[in-house]
Amino acid sequence: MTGPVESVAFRIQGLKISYGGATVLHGLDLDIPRNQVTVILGPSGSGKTTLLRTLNRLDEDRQGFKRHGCVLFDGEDLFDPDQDVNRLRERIGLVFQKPIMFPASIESNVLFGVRHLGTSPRSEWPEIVHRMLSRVALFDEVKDRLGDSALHLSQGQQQRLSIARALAIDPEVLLLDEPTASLDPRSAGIIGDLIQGLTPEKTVILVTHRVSQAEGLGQFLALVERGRLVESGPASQVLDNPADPVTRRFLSPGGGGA
Amino acid sequence: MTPRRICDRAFLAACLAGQFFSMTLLLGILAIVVAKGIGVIDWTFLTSPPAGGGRSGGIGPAILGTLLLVVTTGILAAPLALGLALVRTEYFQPGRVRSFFELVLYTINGVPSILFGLFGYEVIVNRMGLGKSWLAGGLVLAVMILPTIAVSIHEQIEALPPSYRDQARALGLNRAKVIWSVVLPQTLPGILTGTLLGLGRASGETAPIMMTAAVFTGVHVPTGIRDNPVLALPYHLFVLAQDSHDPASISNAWGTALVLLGMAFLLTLASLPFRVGWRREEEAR
Amino acid sequence: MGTSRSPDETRAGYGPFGLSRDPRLRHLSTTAIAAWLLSLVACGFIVALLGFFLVESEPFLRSRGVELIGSPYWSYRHDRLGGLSMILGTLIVSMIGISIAGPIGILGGIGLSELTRPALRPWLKIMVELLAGVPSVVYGLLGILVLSEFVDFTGLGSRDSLLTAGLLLGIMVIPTVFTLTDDACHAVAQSYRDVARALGLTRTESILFGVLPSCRRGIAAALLLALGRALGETIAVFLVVGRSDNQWPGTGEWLEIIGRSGQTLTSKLGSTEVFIAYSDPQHWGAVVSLGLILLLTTALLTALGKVLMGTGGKM
Repeated sequence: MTGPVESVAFRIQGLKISYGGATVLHGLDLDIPRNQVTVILGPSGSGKTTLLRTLNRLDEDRQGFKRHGCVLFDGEDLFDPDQDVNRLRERIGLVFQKPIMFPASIESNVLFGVRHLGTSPRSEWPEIVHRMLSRVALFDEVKDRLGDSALHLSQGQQQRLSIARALAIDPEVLLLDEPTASLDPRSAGIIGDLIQGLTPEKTVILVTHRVSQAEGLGQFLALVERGRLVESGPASQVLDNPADPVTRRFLSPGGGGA
Repeated sequence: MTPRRICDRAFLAACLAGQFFSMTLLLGILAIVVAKGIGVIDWTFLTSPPAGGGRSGGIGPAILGTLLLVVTTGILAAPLALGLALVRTEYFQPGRVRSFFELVLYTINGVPSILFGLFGYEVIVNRMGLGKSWLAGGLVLAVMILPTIAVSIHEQIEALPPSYRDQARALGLNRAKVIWSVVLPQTLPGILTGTLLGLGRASGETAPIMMTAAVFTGVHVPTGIRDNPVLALPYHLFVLAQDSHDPASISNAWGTALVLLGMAFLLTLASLPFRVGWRREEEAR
Repeated sequence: MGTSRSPDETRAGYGPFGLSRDPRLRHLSTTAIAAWLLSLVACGFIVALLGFFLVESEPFLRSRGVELIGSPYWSYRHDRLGGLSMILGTLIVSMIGISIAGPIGILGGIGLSELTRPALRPWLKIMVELLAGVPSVVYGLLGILVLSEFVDFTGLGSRDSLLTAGLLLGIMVIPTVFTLTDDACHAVAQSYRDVARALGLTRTESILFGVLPSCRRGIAAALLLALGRALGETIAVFLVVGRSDNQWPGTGEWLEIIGRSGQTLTSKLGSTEVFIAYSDPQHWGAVVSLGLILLLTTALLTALGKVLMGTGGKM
C-alpha cells in the first residue's frame, strides 16, 4: 500500500499471530488511514478482533501468544520493547464488545482512567464528566443520578458510558470491538452517530461482521477472512466494486455479512 | 410402614439428631462458661493483676497481653499474606506453581500449633536472641495464621471478573495501577475477613505462646522487646486449669474462660459481615 | 519512516515457572518490589519452620531413630528415648475422636445441607463457625471439670485417661467434619435431587444415591482434615490425658489402657520436659523428632485432604 506516512495511522507489515499453536493471523499487510473511520469487516473467527487488540497490544496478555511482523504507529515501532505500553494505551483507546462497568457510580466510571492516570486536574473533573456524557448523548438521561451505581444502567447505556470513559482520557485513536452487537436499534443508532462525530479529530477503527455498519459508518474498509486480508480500500470503492470474489461473496445477501 | 419408609425416617432422624447434637454442643458450652464465669467478672477482675498464684486478683494484664499479641500478629500477618496473594495471582499464571502455593498454604494451616511453639522457642527466642517476648509470640502466631488470610484474599481475587482487569489495562493502567485501582479495592473484604478470622484463632491459642511469649506472673506491661514476655489469657487459663483442686483457681478459670471465649467469638463474628456480604453480591451478579 | 526495533518474534505472556515474562516488569514498580519482598519473607519463615524440624532431628534420627519408633520406653533420665507409647497414645486418642466426630459430623452436615430451611441456614452456619472458634484451652477446662467427671462417674475409665482425651477430641473436631460435609453436599446441583425425587425415591434415598456419590471426595477430605486436627491438638489433650509415660499394653490389656492415663506426642511436646530437653542435644533431638513425626503425619493428611477437596474450600 502506498501513501505518505503522515496520512497513515497504522502501517501493518507481515503481521502473524498465533495462540498456543493455532495461527490466527497469517502475515497481514495493511495501512490504516489517519483521522478516518476504518471498518474491519469479516465473519466471526476471521481474526479481526485479534487484529484490533494488537493495535493497543492487549493481545499480549493471553497465554501461548506468539507474534511476528511489525506495526508502525505514527511511524514508530509499536512493538518496541522499550516502549511504555501503558502510555501507548492512553493514546490508543479500546472499547470492548461487552461493556464493563466497575462496581462504582456512573461518575466514577467515567473518570476511572482520568483519576488513576492523572490526565486532568481534579478541578476539571465535573466538567469532563459533563462533556463526555454529552458526547455520548447520555448526559440528559443520567444527569440526576451521576452518583448511582453504573450497574443499573441498560446495556446500551453502559456501552455509551464505556465509550465516554475511553474518550475521557483523550486518546488519538479509538478502537471499537463490535460496538453495537446486541444493542437495541436506538442505542446502536446513537453510537453510530457518535462514532462519525469523532472524525476527523481522531482515528477510529471498528470491527464488525455486519455489512450495514460498514455501509453506514466506514470511510475505509478492510475485509479480513480466516486471518488473511482479502481486500482493502476506500469504503465506497470496496462496497460498490469489490475486486476480490471473496469480498463479493461476503457482501452479497446471505454471504455471511449480516 | 414398609422397611423402606422406616429406613427413610430413621436416616432423616439421625441427620437431624447429628445437627441437633452439634448445635446443643455450642449452646451447652456457651451456657456453662457463661453460667460459671459471669459471677466472677467485675471491673476489678478485668483490671487487676493476678495474685496469690492466680487464686485471687484478676486478669487485667492478661487481657492487655492478649490484645498486644493480637495486634502485633495482625500487623505482621496481613501484609505478608497480602504480598503472597498478590505475587501468586499477579505474577504467576494459573498452573502448577499456583496450585503448589495453595497446597503449601493449606498444609501449613494444618500444622499443629505446638510445633510453631517449638520452632519459635529455638529459632526466635534462643537463636535470634529475642528471649521470651511478645514480639516472638506475635511472629510465631503471624506465621500460623498466614494461610488463613492468604487464602481468603486469594478467594476474593479469584472472584474478580477478568474483564475488570482487561478494561483497566485498556485504559492504559500499568500492572501496579491495576492492582491499586481494581484488585485491592475489590479484595479489601477478603483481607478483613481473613485477618479477623485468623486473629480469632490466634487470640485463643496457647501452645505457640507457651514457649515464646507468655508467663504466668511477674509482668504487667512490657517495657521493651527483648526478654519482655507478657501475660496472656489462654496461657493464664491453661495454668489455672491445671490447679483444678483449688476452688479459687477454678472460679477464676471460669472467668478467664468467659473473657477469652468472648474475645474469640467477637473476632470471629466480626469477620462474618464481610464474608456474607461478599457472597450476596456474588449471587446478585 | 521508522524501522522496527522489536525482535522479529515476540512472545509475551508467561515463561518458566509460570512467571510473567512481561518486559515491562524490568521497570519494577514499588508495588511489585514490596509484594515480592513480603512474599519472600513469608516463604522464608515457612521454609525455616519446615527446615527446623528436619535439621534439628537429623542427628538424633540417624543414631537412634530406630529406638524412637521401635521402643515404647521413654525415660530421659535413664537415657531411654522410645516414642512408641506416645505414638500409640496419639493413635488411640485420634481414633476415638474420629469415631465420634465422623458420624455425628457427617450426619449433621448432611442434615444442614439437605434438611434445613434456607432461611435458617446462614444462622446455623454461623453457629458452627463459632463452635469451630472455641479455643482449645476452653475445651480443656470443660474437659477437666465436666467430661472427666462424666468418664469417672460412668466408670468407663479414670478421670484423666486416653478415653477422656479421645472423647474431648471428638467433640472438638465435630465442627470441622460438620462444616466441610455441609460444604461438599451443598455444592451438589439441585437437579440431582430433583431427578431422584421425581423418580420416586424417598428423601433418604435421594440423598444417599443422588447427592452423596458426588460429595464422597469432599467428605473424605473432611475426615482427613479432621483427623489431622485431632492428631495435632495439644492443649486440650494435655489437660485430660493424664500424661503417664510408657503406657504400653501387655497381652490382653489393649482395651484396658484406653481407660487409663496415657501420653500422646502432643501432650509430651506441650509439657515442661521440652525446656529440660533443650540443654541436652540427644534429648532435644528426640523431642524435635517427635515433632517431626507429628509434622509429617499431619502434613500428609492435610495435603491429601486438600487434594481431594480440589480448588477452593474452607480451611
